Amino acid sequence: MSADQFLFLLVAALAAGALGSALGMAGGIFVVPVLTLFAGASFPVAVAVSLISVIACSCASAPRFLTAGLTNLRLAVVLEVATALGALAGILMIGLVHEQILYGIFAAVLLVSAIQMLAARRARAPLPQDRIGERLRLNSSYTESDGSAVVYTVSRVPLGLSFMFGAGLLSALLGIGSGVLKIPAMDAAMRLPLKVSSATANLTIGVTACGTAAAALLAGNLNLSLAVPIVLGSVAGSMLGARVLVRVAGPGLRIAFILVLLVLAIPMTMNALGMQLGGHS
Amino acid sequence: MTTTASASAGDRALSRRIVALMRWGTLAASILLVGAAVLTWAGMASAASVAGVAGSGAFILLPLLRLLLMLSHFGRRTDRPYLGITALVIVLVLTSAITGMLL
Repeated sequence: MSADQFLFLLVAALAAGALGSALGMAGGIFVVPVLTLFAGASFPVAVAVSLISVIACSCASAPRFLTAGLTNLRLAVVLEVATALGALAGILMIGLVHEQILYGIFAAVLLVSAIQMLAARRARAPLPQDRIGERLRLNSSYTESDGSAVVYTVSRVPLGLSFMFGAGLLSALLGIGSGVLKIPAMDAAMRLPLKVSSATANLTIGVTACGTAAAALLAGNLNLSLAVPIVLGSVAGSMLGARVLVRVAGPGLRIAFILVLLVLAIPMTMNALGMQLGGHS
Repeated sequence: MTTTASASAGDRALSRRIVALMRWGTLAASILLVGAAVLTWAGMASAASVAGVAGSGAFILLPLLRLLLMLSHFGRRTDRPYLGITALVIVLVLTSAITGMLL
């Protein structure tokens, strides 16, 4: 790989990680299109590299959320049962789903993410206590920076688990963190406070992706020349994103994010329709 | 600063251990990947490949190590439901890795 290519991938991953982390995502949704459309990678190669990058973003962001007391560790591990099961189902489906269909699903995920971003996340009224949530001691609280305590209950755990199964499945097939399903699962279905939802979803990304990523590494299917710049760029971007980008860009960031998602959806849709864009190594 | 008011002291200790694991683990894995890039440019392809696999592997291991930390925490507290749930997640992740490798 030339120095120019290395730099291009590093900068692209840095932008993906920064944009993603500023808006509560892992950035995999940008990494796969960048690799397939601009780096000549085949879909499975891009998925393997992207999975390592989303794990890296999750690990890099986790300390910030944990230190702030926003991550609900018990809820995370409960949800990981569903995401890990979904990922296992996704692994069993790899090879059975045609690449054009995967491009189609990816394009749909990009469009749904753009719509979600357009609608903006909003806090919803809490629901009555869930028996499962109570039995598993999932209800918790955190303290805001102004010192006020926010007590929350975890509702509709089975519905949340169903969404999380889908998130795991998508993660294994598409190499993404699956914020597209995790956000509705935690915000709308389980009615968690937005900060808790983002922090807990971030932690679950690593476990969701690590089985599939380990399989790719152990089977020798990980393209290291692509992985090194992508992962390093993603880590740097995810650490910069939340600290710098939000303050600098303000509401314009959301519009930029939507535009990038829509622009990337076009070539991914064309690939789904059999108009081969990008190389295949 | 925000703190989890209702979390037990034990859970807060677990949280601190996970923070340390993620911080130092991310740093170590990133250093290995920077090493891989430097070795590639220096023309040492096989050493670069070893560093790249080690760095990527370190990132993959971090979530699994986090689960093992949680397993040991719940085990010490004889929190049987969470001991079982965490063990199940570990089994599912390992099954995924083995299945994916064999397919």
